[in-house]
Amino acid sequence: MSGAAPRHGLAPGTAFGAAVIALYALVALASLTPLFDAGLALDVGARLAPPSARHWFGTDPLGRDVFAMVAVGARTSLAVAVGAVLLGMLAGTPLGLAAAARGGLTDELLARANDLLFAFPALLLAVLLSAALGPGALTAVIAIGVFNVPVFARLVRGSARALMTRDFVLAARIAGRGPLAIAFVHLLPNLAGLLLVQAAIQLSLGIAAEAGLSYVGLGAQPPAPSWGRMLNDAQTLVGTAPWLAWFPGLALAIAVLALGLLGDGLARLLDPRAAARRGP
Amino acid sequence: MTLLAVEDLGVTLGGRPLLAALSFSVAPGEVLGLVGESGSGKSLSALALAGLLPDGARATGSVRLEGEELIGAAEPALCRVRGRGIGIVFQEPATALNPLLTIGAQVAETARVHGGYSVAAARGRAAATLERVGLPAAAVSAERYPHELSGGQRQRVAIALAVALAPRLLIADEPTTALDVTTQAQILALLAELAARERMALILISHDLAVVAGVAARIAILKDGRIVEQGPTRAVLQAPAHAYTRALVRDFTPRPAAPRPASGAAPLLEATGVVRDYRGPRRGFFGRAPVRRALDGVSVRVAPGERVGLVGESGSGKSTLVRALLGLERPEAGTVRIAGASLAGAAPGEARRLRRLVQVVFQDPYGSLNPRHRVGRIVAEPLGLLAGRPGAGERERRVAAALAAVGLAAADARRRPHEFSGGERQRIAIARALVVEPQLVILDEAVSALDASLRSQILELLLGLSAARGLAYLFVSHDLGVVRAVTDRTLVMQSGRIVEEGPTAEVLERPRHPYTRQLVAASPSLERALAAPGPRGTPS
Repeated sequence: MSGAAPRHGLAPGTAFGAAVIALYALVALASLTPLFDAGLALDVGARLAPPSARHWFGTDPLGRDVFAMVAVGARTSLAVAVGAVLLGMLAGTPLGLAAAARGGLTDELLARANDLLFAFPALLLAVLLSAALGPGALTAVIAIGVFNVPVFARLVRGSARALMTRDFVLAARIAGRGPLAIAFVHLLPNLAGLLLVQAAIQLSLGIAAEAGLSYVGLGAQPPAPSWGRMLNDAQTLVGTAPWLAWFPGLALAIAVLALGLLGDGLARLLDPRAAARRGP
Repeated sequence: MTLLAVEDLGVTLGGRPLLAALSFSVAPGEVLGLVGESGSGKSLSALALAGLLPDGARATGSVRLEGEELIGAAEPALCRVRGRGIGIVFQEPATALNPLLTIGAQVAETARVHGGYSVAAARGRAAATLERVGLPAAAVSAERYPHELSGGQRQRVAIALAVALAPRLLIADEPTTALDVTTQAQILALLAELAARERMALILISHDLAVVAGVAARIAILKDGRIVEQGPTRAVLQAPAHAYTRALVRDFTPRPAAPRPASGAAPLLEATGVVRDYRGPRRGFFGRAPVRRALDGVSVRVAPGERVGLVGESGSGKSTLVRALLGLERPEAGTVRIAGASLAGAAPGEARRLRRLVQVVFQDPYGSLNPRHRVGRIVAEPLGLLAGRPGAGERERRVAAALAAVGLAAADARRRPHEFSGGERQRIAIARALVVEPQLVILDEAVSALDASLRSQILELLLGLSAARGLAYLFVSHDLGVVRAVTDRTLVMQSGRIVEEGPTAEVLERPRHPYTRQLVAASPSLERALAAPGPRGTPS
């Protein structure tokens, strides 16, 4: 993957995105081990230390290591975003397929429900859910995931409708295949690429949304570290300890950028016209 | 006198020769036909003449237009020649036009940019040009947008763009392939008339020998990037010197099917009074959706072993009828019965038994096979219709037998569709239809996308299968020659109705309904073209 030959292999942006996401996932997995526990312990003697060899990203007002907090925050961010994407994909794909296959009233009802969701401010729903379920990571997953449902439903509906007019799907119907078999054998395999691309895009939006929710206190609750809350906590100290805002902010920006690049790269990779240029 | 002289023209792409040793000439007012199958290099030669070769392609030899050498000429000179000296018309008018500009504005822009006309003069030139191509302002306003026009009208606009500056040479690359036969006849007549009236040389490029034979005074046959034979159309086609030309002429002269006695057996497929409506988008929130009647009381019968043709132009309702017959769409009224039983409302087991009897082959061999599956899986798909679901060994045996019946090897089952050519893919689609041993196969334009040589092979295969297995066909096609070669009986469809029905020979030789007569007259036929008093476009 030198990136020098975009015609073959991955484009540099795609490779960068994939590498960064792999790194984040690795860090998030590592945070499940006791590796960062020492960093998260309070150490009031070392409070507000600037970045150094001992504390790479500095420390916070309670003396906790910011690097450890960012690392554990990656876990929260990724978990919430992945959960929200899975929720959106698992609910949205069957809905989209049903709308495409049934048409008529089913299609109309789903389209209107989608419109309703799109028109509804996400933050409002999050506040509502927090009031009902109590704030927390699960609430964030649901609040973000609900808005992923129409995205996947629309994508699947549009592409499935196009696929269903293709002769091989008609041939399958004439061969006596039922709707479920057609969905699994003919439609989903041909939609997998599109779903993957959309998942990368929704993942990046989800990470940003999770940060937004926890910034206003509706995401993961203390003591679980999260980038959004770290940014909020850093607000009053930006003048004296700017590193408190730098590192979670950078981690967030790079994650969103990397996923965006990865999504773009995958879209190009899976584009049939691009495939034609590359040869079979 | 020679307008265009091509000598030893060759084109290479990355060192690979695509065209070699092309030599021909065209005089003013003359029509030259360039005929070849897909991959013969006919479109590439059009691009080479106009200096529009793709990146990396290199032209050698000499192309002289009125004595001016075009090969190796600088881009500004070529650009001037393309604008004023050479006009080009491509196959697909929909993509040749800008959807956001009115047709008048598009033609005016060409006149302004390449002809140096002022804005007002360009507008006048556009109006005159549209009139020349049979779109007078009184009939079709220059203020219309391409999407408001029919396919034939769009192609006229594309021709107007090409001839706006009165080029000396017009190159038409498959200009009528995307059109219906009656529209095709009109566009061909327009091109021939423009050439004769304005002393413009016309190079007509087509895969269809019959189309070219009706218009061109001289003809050149292209194969694998070389001209294998050229000369006066009649001489070349009546006494072809090259074996390839002989084969091509044979492929375009389908032998009529031998008449067979009508079967008195109970019908295998019987549709009675089928009505199918399509609803357009609702007008306003409380408005009603406009209804378009696609099938208006259509009745069709196919007896066991009978071969029935269904002809009509696009939009006549052929495809809707096929879908209704296959039970893919539920008609508003009327019944469809297979072997006396109705598919609608049948229990799953009964529905499978009925579906097994009727299978289908679609037009596009690239769209009808799931690109992700192996051939074996594709062909085996309908096996679920058989009673007592066959086991793995039985499935494999049946797939191999079906592949063998269409001339493919059992080992091909392990390959994927993209490894096969168009003709082989169509064989795979036929194998899929045959695997459950149906009694009727509906062939929906099943040979329309194929080159003539492949088409005759597939037709031969179909006739053989029908004779060997007593298979019945419903042969849907816009190509009357093909229908003549395969079917016993023919139905003619127009605007959702069957307007004429009878033995094929009778319907096509002595048509009674005006629409059938129009269809027969417009269909390109090699026999008729050669029998006519003299092709148009002869230099006088």
